[in-house]
Amino acid sequence: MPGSSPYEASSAFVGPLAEALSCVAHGKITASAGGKNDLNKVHELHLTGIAGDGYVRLRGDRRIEMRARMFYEIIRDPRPGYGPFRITTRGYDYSLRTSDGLAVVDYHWHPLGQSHEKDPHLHIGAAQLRPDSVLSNKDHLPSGRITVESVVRTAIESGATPLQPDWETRLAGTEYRHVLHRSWH
Amino acid sequence: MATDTQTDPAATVDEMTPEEQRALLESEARRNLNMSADEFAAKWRAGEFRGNEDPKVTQVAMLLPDAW
Repeated sequence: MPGSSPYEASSAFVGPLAEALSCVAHGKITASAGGKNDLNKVHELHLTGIAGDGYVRLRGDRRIEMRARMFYEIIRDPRPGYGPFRITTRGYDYSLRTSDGLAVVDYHWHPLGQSHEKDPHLHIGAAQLRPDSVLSNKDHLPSGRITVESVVRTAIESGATPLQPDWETRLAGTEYRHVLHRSWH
Repeated sequence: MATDTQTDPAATVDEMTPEEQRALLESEARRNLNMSADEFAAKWRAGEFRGNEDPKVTQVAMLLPDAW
């Protein structure tokens, strides 16, 4: 989402993410140094905070834990309606795991210089695999671009208790705004 | 004047200091790969993790400022 300043762009970016996350968790959203204002540098956004290993316990009998990290840049965009400043996502790392620390599913997008897998993908976690499984947790399964909202939905569908009675409407709203402004799908 | 966090969500976002960011990377490198951040960064830049498909490697690498 655009902003008239780098700070406004970062605020427009964070708002919907915070609202989406609030459907299942209350984390202390934390950015890397300069993450609210510095242009042309990849920043970190820890949506579930940085305490411990960054996971938050979700309510519900399944005792699922979630961690959500995004990597982004604040850039100039001269196109009408897209700027003058906006956020572009550079990568993400969304994870669901059991309360004893076993991965359930990891959603990754990390087009790093040395990555051999630069498209969005997921890893099936060890908690879901058997020793004789065909797949392993190291397999990169193509997923298409994953939104924070879809991870929240997966958590709820997997047994996490929603914290907002209108969670479906909230997630639809925040996701729509994101899809409207993102530059690729 | 109090900040209206509904119109300014960024006001609720903490921003790490460079030292805190460095400490986070150190913690993640040690917890996931049993090595220091400096050791991990050196190995990453030297290409020693090329072909390593362990998701923990890229989860730590994403926290390296110069990996992008």
